[in-house]
Amino acid sequence: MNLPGSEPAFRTLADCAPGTRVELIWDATVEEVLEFARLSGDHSPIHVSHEAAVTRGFPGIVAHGALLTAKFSSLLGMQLPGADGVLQSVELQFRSPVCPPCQIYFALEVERVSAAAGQIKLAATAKNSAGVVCASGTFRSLLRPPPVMSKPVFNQLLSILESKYPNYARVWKEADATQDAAWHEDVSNHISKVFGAEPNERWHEAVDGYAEFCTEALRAQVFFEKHGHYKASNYEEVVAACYHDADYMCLRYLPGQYLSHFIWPHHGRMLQHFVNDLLPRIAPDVKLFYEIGVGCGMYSLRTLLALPECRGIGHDISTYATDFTYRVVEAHGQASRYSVSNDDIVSTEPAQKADFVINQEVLEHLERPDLFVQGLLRTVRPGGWGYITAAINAAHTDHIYLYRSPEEVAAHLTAAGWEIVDVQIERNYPEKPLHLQPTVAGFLVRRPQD
Amino acid sequence: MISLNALQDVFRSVFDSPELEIKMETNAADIEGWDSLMHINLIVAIEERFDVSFTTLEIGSFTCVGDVLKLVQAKTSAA
Repeated sequence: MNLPGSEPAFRTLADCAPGTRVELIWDATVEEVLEFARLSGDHSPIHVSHEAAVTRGFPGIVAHGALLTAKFSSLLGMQLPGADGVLQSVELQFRSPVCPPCQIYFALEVERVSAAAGQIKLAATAKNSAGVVCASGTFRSLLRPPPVMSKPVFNQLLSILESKYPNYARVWKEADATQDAAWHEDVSNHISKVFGAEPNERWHEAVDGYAEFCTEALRAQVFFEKHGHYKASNYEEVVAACYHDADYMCLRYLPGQYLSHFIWPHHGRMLQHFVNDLLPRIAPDVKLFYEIGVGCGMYSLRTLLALPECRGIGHDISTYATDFTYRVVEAHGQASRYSVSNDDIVSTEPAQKADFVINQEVLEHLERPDLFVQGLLRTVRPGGWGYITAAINAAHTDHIYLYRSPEEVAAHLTAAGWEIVDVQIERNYPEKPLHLQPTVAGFLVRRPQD
Repeated sequence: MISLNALQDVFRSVFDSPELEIKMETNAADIEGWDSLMHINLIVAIEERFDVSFTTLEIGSFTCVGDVLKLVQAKTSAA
C-alpha cells in the first residue's frame, strides 16, 4: 500500500477493515466555487453572486453540494479504497451550507466490507470548524484490483522451446521481436485454446512435436539439395508410414504443422493473406465449404471464424488429422457448423457441390496432383471458388511430387479447368538459388460458369 | 577418439571454407551462413563421416562445437 500523497494508495480488501478512516481538510475559497461553477455549468446565483446569496439568507456564496462530493471523491480515489476502487453509489444529505472562506473537515470510514462481492461501504461526513455537519451519507465502492498479468502464452511456450531446443528458438524469437501485440494476443489465444491456457504436458508435447517436425523438414531438405529429388516417391508407403501412424500424426506432424502456421514467416504470410484478403473477397458467395486434406485444421478454423454464416466439412484420409481438426474447431466454439469425414471425396464426386474448396499444401503429397486438381474442380458448383496451395522445392518426409516453380502448379490448375484469380508466392531462404528455394504458392481459383 | 581437427574437416567441407578454424566454443554466431538448414547439413555430414546419428533433442540443443564434439566422441566410443 502506498502512502497518501500525490500518488494514489493501492489497497486490498485486507487494508480496508471496518473502522479504517481517512480524513481531509479543505480550505474552501470563493475562487474554487466559481471554478466549479464553470466546470459543472451550474451558475445558479447563490454559487456565483455574493449579493444573490445574501439576498437569499446565506452569509455569502454557497459551495455546490457536488463540489463537496468531489472532495469526497479525492479521498475515495486517492486513499480509501484508493486506485483500485470503482465508485458504485453515493447517498449524501447536505445539512448545512458551506460558505467560503472556511475550513471543512472531510472523513471517510469503512462501515462494512463484503469480501465475496469485493464491495466496501463507507460512512462519510463533512463538518465545518464549529463541528457542524455540512454533509453526511454513505459511499459504496468496488475494490477491483487489476488481474495479475502472466507472461503471454506464446512467450511461455517459447521459454520451453528455448530451454530444450535452443537451435529451433531463433525463428520464434524473431517473431517475438517483430510481430505486434495483436499477433501475440491472437497466437496466445489460439495456442491456449488448443493446448491449454497454462503450462501442461500438452505444451511439452507440442514443443517436442514442433522440433521433430522441423528436424524432419530440414533433413528432407538436405536430402533434396543433395539428390535433386524428394526422398519419398510412393504414395501408399507415405500413407502407411505417416498418415495412419498415430504417434507420428498426433505427437509430431499435426502439432508441429499447427505451430508452423504461426511461427514460420512464409506460412504466417500465407495465412494472413487468406484471412485478410481472400476470405472477405469471396464471403458473399460461400455458404458451404469443403477443406480437402485438413491437416491440423488451421484453414477450416479460420474460414469458420471469418465467415460466421457458412458451414464446412473437412475431409482427410487420416482419422488422426480429422480428429485433431475437429478438436481445434471445437476448442474455438465453431463445431456446430463443422463436420469431418474420411471419405475420398475427390474420387467419388460429391452429390452436394460446395461454394468453396480449400486444398492447402496437399498437391505435393500426391503422385498425380494434375488429376487431383481435376477432382477438386468437381467438388464445387459452377462459379464456385477454390483456394489451392502447393509447396515448391520444399521437402518433407511425406512430399512426393516435386513442383519446381509456381508456374508448374498454375499449369496443372488451368489444365484442370480452373480460372486463376489471385496468386501469392512466399519464399523461405531467399538467398538460395531459385531451384533450391523452398517456396509456397497459393492460388485463389474459380470454376467457370457452365 | 574423434579430434577437433577431424570435426574441423567436416566443418570446412560443409561451409566450403578451407581456411575455417573452429574452437570448442565456436557457435552459430561465429560462422557466416550457419542457419537452421546449414545446421542440419552439418549434422548430416557429421553423421555420415563418423557413422553416428543424432536425435532431435541433440540436434536442437547443440550450442557450440564443443557440444557436438563431446557427443560424437561419446557415441563413437560407446559403439
